[in-house]
Amino acid sequence: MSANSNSVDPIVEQKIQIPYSYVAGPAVSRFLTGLKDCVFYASECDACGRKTVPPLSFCGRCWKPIREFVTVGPRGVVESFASMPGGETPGVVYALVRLRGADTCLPHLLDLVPGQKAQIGAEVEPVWNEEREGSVLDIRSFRLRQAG
Amino acid sequence: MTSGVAIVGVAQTCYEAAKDHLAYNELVYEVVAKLLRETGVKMADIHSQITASQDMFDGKTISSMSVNEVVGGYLKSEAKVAADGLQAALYGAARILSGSFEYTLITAHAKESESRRPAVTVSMFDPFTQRPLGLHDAISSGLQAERYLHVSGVTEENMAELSRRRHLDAKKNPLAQRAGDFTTKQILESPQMAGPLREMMVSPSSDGACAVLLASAERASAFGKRAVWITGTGNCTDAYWTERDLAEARALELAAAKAYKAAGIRNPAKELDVAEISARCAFEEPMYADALQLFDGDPRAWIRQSAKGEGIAVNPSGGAITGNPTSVAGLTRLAEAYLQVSGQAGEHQVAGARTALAHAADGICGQGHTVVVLRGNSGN
Ligand SMILES: [Zn+2]
Repeated sequence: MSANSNSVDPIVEQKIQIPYSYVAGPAVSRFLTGLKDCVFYASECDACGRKTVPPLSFCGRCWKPIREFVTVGPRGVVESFASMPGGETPGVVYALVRLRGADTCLPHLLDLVPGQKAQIGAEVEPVWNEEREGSVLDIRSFRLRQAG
Repeated sequence: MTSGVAIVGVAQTCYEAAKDHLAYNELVYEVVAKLLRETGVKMADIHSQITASQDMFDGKTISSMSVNEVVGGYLKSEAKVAADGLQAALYGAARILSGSFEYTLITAHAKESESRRPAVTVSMFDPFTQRPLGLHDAISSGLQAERYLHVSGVTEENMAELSRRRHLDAKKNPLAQRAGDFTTKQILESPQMAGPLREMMVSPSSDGACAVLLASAERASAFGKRAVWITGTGNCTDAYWTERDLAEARALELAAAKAYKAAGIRNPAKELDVAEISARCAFEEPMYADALQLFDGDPRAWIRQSAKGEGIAVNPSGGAITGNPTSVAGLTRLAEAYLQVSGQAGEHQVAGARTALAHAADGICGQGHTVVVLRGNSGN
């Protein structure tokens, strides 16, 4: 482009790609490895009793280290949900799931069969993949528990 | 040492979906040049500058390097805040109160159009358990909206009513991005974003910059009615978004309590004339107005009242829902609050405005909040 050009400024297309190797640390590692066995680990503060999932190595509220890990779930309750716009097919539904016994929420996908409606307060359970490698994606989704 | 901090001038770009003609440092130049021209203050007299921007939106780490000289920071003390520009204003006010500086220049900028908001905001989320799900800020806002609607009883129609009013008010603000006389039907039928949120209930992607000049009491005295006093400030951060109830804004209640106490405000709904609240999404406005004690009782009643233009003037500029960039939105609220109490708001002036509030939200689902209370020198 010449210096005296009257056309619009060029737009430079670029992409920043940076590889990261995040260290999960002992607490989150416990959570991720637990998923291989279809178990949810939470941290439990011995001062305030708060159960946090995924777990933490410290309680920021009591400012104390946490040494206790307990299991929560696997069933939980929908604290909120959001359906996403789909194209031809229905969009995915995200949910905040409060696993039984936990004081915090785990975001994940909510799988609804035709005719089912998401609802705050609905009971859900995880659907696990056959092959699990210690990732949050070992949970395929949560699904509504049938009444009765 | 100064006995107080005043705002003596503000400048904003107009807000647009894509400012393809200027780079972001040129947007900042535009507002700084306007600010100096209108206040008559010389750059040689400003020795302190705080800028606010997000590296991920600028696509460059330490993004303040590109604006340092534009804000007059060459061989001076420039510092960057990677949060809303309203926090930069708090930092700037502290610098003046320290007695080390007579002026501090605050700027905030972002060009959201240069990237893709979902791709940028996915990086806010926990990399181990949240990013693999593809979460970005429209999804977390959708989850928060559904939760708030469930707990408060506020409906999608209520959100549309409020959105309609703000876009209508924005018609009187020449800098507003998305303004118009829309119907609630048009808003409710705009494309879905996430959960109950429609596109017309959420700030569109936005480009723009804002600048605010702070001065010591000694310097401010020369500005007469154009000097507006910061009478109270508060800032508070809550737990991570998955570790708190998203239907309430406790951090904002605490930040507001601190600002009101300092400003001597006991009944905010009566004593404030204007509140400029950072609400990117329609549901955030009643949630934040509640935490700011701007109404008592049913948020649906307040929405109906506010949508008719009754009660305390909230977001007479149209507000962030009509389009303000991340990190700029809160500083824009401060600039608008300043214009109101100094009688310079033009067509969207609230008659007789003397005391105003500016608010900023930061983080996923409003994890952190900043509140500033302003008082004009005299009624207008
Ligand atoms: Zn604790």
